[in-house]
Amino acid sequence: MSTGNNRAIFALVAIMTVVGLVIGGAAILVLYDTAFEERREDLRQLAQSQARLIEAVAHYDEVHSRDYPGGSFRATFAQIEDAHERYKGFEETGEFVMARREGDEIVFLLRHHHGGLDIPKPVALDSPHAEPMRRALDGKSGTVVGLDFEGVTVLAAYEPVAVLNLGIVAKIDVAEIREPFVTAGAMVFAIGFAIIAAGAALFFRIGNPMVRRIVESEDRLRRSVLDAPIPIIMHAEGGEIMMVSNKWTELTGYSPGEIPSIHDWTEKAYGADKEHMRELIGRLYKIEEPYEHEAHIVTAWGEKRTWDVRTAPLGILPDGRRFVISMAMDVTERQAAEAAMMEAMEEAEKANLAKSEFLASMSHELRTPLNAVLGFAQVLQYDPENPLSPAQNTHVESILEGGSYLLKLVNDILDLAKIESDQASILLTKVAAREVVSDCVSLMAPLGEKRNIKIVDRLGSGLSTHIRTDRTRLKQVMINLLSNAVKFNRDGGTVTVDGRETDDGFLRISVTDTGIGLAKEDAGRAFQMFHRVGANSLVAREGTGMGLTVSRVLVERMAGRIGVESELGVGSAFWVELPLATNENILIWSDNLRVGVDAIDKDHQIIINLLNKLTHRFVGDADLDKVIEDMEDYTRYHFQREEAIMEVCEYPILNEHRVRHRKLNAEVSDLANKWRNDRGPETLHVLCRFLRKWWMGHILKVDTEIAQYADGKEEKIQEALEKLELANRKRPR
Amino acid sequence: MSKTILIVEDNDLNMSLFDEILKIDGYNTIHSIDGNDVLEIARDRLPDLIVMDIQLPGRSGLDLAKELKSDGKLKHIPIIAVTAFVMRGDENRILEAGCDGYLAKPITVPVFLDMVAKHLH
Repeated sequence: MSTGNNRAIFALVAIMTVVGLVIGGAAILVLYDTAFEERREDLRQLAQSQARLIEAVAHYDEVHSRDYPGGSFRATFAQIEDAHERYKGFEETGEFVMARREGDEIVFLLRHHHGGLDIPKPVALDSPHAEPMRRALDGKSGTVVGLDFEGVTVLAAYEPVAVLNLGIVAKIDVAEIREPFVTAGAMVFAIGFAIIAAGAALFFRIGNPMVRRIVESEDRLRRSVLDAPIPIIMHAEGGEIMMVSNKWTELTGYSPGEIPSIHDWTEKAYGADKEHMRELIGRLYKIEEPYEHEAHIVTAWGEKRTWDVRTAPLGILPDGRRFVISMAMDVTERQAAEAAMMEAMEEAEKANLAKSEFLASMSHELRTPLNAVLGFAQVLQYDPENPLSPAQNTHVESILEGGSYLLKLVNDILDLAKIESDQASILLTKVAAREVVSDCVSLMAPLGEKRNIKIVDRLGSGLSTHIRTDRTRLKQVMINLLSNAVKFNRDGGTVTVDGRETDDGFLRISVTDTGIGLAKEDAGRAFQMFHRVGANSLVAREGTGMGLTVSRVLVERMAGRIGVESELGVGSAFWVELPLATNENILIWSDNLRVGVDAIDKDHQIIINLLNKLTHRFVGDADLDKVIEDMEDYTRYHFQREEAIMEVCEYPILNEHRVRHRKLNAEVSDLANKWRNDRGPETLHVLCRFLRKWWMGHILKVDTEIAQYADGKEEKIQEALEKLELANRKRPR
Repeated sequence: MSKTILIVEDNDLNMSLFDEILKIDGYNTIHSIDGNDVLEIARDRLPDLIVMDIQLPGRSGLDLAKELKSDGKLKHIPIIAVTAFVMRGDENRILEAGCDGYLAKPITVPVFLDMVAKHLH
């Protein structure tokens, strides 16, 4: 908890203490005042009644006690003395005093106090002492707070006794009147203080943890809003902005002070859009469910940004206003990237269309003369009126065979050319492998039945596995493998399709036949173009030898692997491995990764392939070293090329890129060295994960920006790259 | 009486190929080499069947098929399209235009003759 909160609590305790004491003090003061006035009245009555009584006795004695020894005065005085001897007195310091003036002195005749009777010493008339008596002797009647003959402050009532020229005073020490109230005050103070202290302690003990929790959770909320990595504001109906996250300020340039209310924000950030936005924001206070909208804001420095804003209701404030929290995500770059991606796809689509048109017309032009060649050859065989000699017939057969082969070759080449050049045709989706395989098996079953070959689908009836791949292309590969398995099988044989998940996140689909099998050297070359297994006449008739090449290109394009295990005379098992849908470690180069600058795209494709090799981990440690080294080298090479391209394209933030590139190179070297020292799977995993994340971020977010600057500068780029090549060649590595 | 077949084909070699094959099987043939005169010839001679290329210098075989099939007097004449258009969707496009049969070039002679015979009955 902050010291501010502590201070607040101490202030609270202090205020309570002061208030308590003021109330207690005031009460005591009022009581004291009442008691004081009561006492004053008592004294006045006592003095007056004594005076009147003494006067009455004096009058009586004047008439009846003239013969008393010492005269009537003595008689009266003796009675007074007598009476006071029997009178117990009052209070602790209560006194009754009688005096007369003799010359310039006040001569006391009697003093009655708690201790009994005595006669105090005379006091000079001009002394400050004996003030009440002086007034009495002046013939005055009343009460006063003043000094008595001993110099003590007293409350006194004074009264003249006219007949005898005496003054009497009834008095009590002010200290005595005060004493109980001082005690009470002290006690009130002590008890009050004790209660407040105990209360405060109790509050700290019971209340404080609660308060602390509330304060802390509020504090946490506040901090998490303030320090959140996204722009957040909290605002209330009427527009008051209650909290602005630092990110909001950082991204917009408007400090909380500049936008005290949502109206200020709308005015500053929405420009021409403000009327519409004001109306929209007004509606936000009435929402019951989170609401999302897109906002086009203008920052303090005039930059236009696009935000996805999500607003959620937070409830109602104590004053009845509804309040909401609005969180934003800056999607400017993402939207730009998406737009660029769409554009790139459209471009690819266009190029694709042109290619398709070319392929269609090429196919058409080739088929027209082939029709005549093959047609007339057939006519030669067909015309019953001009039958061919057996030798001629054989020759015609050869023409037909050659023509058919030519036709098939044309078809296959067109197909391969289409696949190799046509990256856009790789459409990645989540595909249920089982469905595709079982479709293909049903399609191929009739082909097998002709030769009594059974196709057993173990995958279709088992695993339900989803892979990330292109459905049509997978089908093409499967049909190729299945037709080969049938083609090269013995009559009455079996083709078995099976599937299993590998440890590294792939689905391996295998097609096993019981056919002639492959020699070891043939197995190694089976996927090369125009390599025909066995190269015998049978095979020559049945295919162009391009089917497996097409399959390999397709599978590799989909970040998969293809291979064969075979034994001559026993059979072959062709397999493909494609990444499972859940496998996030494999990056697949599809058209949406295209930046639009050929050299950069090519680099990215190579780097992604290297990265997949690292992740696949189907090479030994020594090879892994090589791959990592290649990765480091190629990354550096790519950055060199990219920087050269950026330079000729006058890319505005080239320096920023140089810094980024250097940082990545350092980081990669660092992680690679860590792996060289450790060689644990975890360190390799860390390296791969870092690279994957970096590259995807780099390709999708950063490099897409280059395209707009590179547009129309293809020649310049080519020149720059050639210059770089030359420089690199001269420089010893 | 032997049936008359109209061959619409712009390529000389292919024209003489179809002509030869059909004559071997005893059909009479008449020719159109650019497609412009197809409707005229069809109305004039009322052939029993038309063998037609699709890509023609004068006009598209698809349009011709549509016109032939919308003419009350001609629509009963079967049309067999023999074409080098073999890309995906071509066959459907051609049959939808009104052709009764579709064969891809290069043809297999017996298949071609079978189809002709079938459409003549």
